Amino acid sequence: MKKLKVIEDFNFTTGPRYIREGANSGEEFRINVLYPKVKEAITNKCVLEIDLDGAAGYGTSFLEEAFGGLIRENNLSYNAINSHIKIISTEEEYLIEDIDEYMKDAQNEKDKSN
Amino acid sequence: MLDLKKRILRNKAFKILRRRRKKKKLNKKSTKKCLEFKRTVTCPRYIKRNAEFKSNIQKIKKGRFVIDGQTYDNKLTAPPVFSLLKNPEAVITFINMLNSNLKNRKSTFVDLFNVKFIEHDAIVLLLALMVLFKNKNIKFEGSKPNDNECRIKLQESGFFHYLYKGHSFPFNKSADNFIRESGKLTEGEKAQEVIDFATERIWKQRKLSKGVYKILMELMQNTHSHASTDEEGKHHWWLNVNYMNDKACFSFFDYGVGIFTSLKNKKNGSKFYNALDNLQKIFKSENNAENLKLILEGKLHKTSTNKSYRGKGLPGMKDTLDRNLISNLHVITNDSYANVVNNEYRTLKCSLKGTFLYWELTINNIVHDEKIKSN
Repeated sequence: MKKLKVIEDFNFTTGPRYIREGANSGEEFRINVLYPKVKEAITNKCVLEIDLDGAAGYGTSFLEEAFGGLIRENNLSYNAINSHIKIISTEEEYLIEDIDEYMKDAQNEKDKSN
Repeated sequence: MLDLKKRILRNKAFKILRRRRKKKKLNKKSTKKCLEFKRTVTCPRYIKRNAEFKSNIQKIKKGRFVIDGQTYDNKLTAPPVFSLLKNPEAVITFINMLNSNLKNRKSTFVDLFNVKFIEHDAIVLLLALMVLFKNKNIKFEGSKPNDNECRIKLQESGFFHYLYKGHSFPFNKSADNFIRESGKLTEGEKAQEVIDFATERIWKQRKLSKGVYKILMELMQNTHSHASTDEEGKHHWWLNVNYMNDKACFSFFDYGVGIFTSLKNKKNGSKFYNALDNLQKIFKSENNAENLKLILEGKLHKTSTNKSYRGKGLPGMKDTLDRNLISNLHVITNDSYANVVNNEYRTLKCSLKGTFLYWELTINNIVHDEKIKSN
């Protein structure tokens, strides 16, 4: 199992949605950290454990852009991502469900537009 | 005869001596005035003026105000209870008049002399406007409150430090009040800075407050994206944190257009286009106070997108309250006032151009221990 810990692989303070809106954005996290690791996990057919604990906190836009963006911008499917990631969030358990919904919504939007 | 002559000569000598002394005195005064003038260049008179100094020095001249030899287009008197939470209508009316002077570039004397009760929420509101006066080079002055407690509170708030940004008003880092002015970006480090300030005082060590962090990120992002109807990143936000009675009180403010004006101006194609009208049709709400309640409950998001709000925006802030991550949430935007904990929603007689949020962090709220800090 591969591991991604936000505070070690990205930053302690997460930022807004887009790079143009401020430092440590969800877009930056997706492009530089999340997408390469998720893609690697899908290619190698293993599970990536994403640990959200220990960070200062998360704005909803950051998480939506990072995880929903994998479907919108990086053309991954909900099923492919869902079967290759495991999210750890003991400090804010509700984030696991929120992230799942962000990805489902992004997939639905994508299906509608196709 | 000789005595008389002597007396006359002596009187003359005295007269000359008196004249010389008078001249010397005048010279001394003018030098002092020059020095005072020099001082005003580096140290604004706003803070030097004290209560006694203010009385009997104002008169109206052709519709203008002459105060301490200076002429102003307008003089605005702050309400005696200068607190947005305790006296929202009077404070908003005062702030709106100040805003109008700013818009019309009217030089203004801000009279705080009769203020008997002052809160940090109103101080940061006033500060945000006075900084705009300063940045636009519009002449302004003011008087400090006559009330001793209020005067000390204003001084210790850091108001003058942030207004003049000079070394003459150093910020006391150990003070229990902290004001943060933003740039135009959403910055997590600035959010964490105020959380550290608050948790160090409440728990005597740094803690993670995920609720406060999330709220700050949402608010900064909203200011960037929605505070203006025509341009992203147009408005600044202001944040004040004050520690007192074992709790940290947060006041966040942006002089944007406010939530309802922003919603009314959503363009065709936006997911919130006509959202307010639809909300009113479905829930039969009659005013913005009722609309604000529906927005906080996530109804606006649900009717506009047919999806759950998933912690986003204002409903997400109410979630942090319901999850005990923060306490005592208040929202004031346009003509709506919400005391969320007490389920008190009311329509104000005046409208605030912008959005104001107040909440508290107390020892009873959920926080987490810091594990590692990468930078």
